[in-house]
Amino acid sequence: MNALIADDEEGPREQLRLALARLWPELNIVAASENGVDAWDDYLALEPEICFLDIRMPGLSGLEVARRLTALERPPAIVFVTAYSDHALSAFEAGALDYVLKPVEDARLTQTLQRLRARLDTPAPAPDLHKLLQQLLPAAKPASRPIQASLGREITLIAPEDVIYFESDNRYTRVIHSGGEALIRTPLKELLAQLDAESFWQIHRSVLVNSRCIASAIRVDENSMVLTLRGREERLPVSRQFQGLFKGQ
Amino acid sequence: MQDTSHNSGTLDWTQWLCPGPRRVFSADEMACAGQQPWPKFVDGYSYSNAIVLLAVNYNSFQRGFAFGICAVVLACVWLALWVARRLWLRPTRWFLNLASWGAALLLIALGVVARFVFHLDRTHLEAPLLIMVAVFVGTATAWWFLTLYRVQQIEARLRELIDQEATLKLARRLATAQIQPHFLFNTLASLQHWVDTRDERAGPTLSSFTRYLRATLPMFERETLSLDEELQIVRSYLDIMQARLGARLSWEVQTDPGLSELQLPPGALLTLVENAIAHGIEPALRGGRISISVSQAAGLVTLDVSDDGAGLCNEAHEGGIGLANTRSRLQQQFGARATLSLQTLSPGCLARIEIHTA
Repeated sequence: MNALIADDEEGPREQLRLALARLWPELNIVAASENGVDAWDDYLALEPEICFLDIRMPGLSGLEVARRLTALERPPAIVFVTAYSDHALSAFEAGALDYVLKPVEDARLTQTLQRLRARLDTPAPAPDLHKLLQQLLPAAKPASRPIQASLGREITLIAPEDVIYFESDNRYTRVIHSGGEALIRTPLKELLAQLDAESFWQIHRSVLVNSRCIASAIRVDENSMVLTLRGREERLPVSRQFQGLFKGQ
Repeated sequence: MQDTSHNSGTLDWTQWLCPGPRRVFSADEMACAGQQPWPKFVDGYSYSNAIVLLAVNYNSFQRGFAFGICAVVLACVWLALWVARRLWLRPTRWFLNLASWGAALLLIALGVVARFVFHLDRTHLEAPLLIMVAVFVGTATAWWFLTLYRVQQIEARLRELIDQEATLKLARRLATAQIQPHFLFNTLASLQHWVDTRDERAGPTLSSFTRYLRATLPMFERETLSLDEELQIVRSYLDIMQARLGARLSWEVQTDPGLSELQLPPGALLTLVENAIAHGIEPALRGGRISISVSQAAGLVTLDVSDDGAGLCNEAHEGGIGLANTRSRLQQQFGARATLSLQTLSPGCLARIEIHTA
């Protein structure tokens, strides 16, 4: 069994890691992420079965990461870790999602882990957490600022709505927009924290596409799917995790 | 201030000579608690009763006197209502007694006039006089009750206002004194870990935390803190945050030694620093730097707290209560001489308190 821990502070993060090692030695902590965007990216890379998310994190908050996770085909089990039980958490008290308070106490964590194991052994139909999180979180991010791409001495400003897609390319992010192509230094995972999740869909760990530019999704075989774009030749692969975005109606 | 004669058990002999409530309200007390409008329906009720009674008895009045009697009765009703309205506006027992004696004299005067001016004989006068005495007793009793009721009403309203004020004050103090639970428990979580693992950060952080708590808990009992004391709290707070956030936070304090005794509302600077951490540094993926500078020039003291983090720099986002509270407490102490403003930096946010000392 694999798990991810995300907390922006080292102390609480390591405290949880040690507590988990004590109480569930077989649990394999595959990632200890230091912020929300790393947590999301680490999840996509490693796909652990359990995610322990701090609620207050830079980049994406724990709730925002959870919203993304619950939108996936097979979402992981989520446990929130928080210093103080906000009103937001009372929404989860029905038991759908669990939370533990920092500093983590062994007795409380043991209970949580027992419930977690029970749930993972007999996967029940998950309640509609995604909808709940959608309601809890503000619908849209505040208007995004233009993207500034520098080429030599010139800085081009690209309005987010003109972008067709973003693609991570080694240490850079490629911006393909209506007026051409540009390279920026901001990593893709940080961009997705700034952009409106409704307009920019992540279809791959390294690709973020403007939903208005998608022409069609084509299933190639059991496991693979590609997107075609309006007025463009290239086809973008959709990774398995995100194929659930395209189901037809 | 409170009338305690009712509760003390000792007899109040003045009540024999001059009955009525002893409590006298000041103009201020009346202004804030005695502004209830006179119930107009009392006028209508009294006049209509008088008119109905006069109409029913009209035929039994002696010829030639009927019109005069009606006029006198209505004038008496008008007078009684005028007294009642006065008592409503200023419910004092002196006026109550004055009015009662005045009414008694009026009654006697009416009797004298009837007997000696209109030469009515005793047998004709007995019944009307008896009625008039009854009416007088009724009226005086009504005034008396009105005064008692009114005093009770205003006292209750004053008590209510005092309670409200106290609740508000307490709420305001709690809102300021609020140690952010997130700060408290996150600090404890870090400390717990460092103690468990015998990390060397545990000791210094624990002493900063102790200093911070010791300074913040009693700080709101006091009206003002000197700049030095305030900066000490700010430093302990930043020491803790430094230990927790590590490389994500750096900070500096520049202060003018000449201002160490400057008196400020407790927590004024701390609130700004907490905001800078919560909205500037913590949400920034790479953290940032906080600069605090205190300076004075030409009768103007400037306290700046700036960060270069990711914060949106507007009041709604800065979490409202803290800033509004600081602003109102600055106003309380300095009036219009102090201002608190926010300014967007790119990147970051600058919070500035300016105090004109000249």
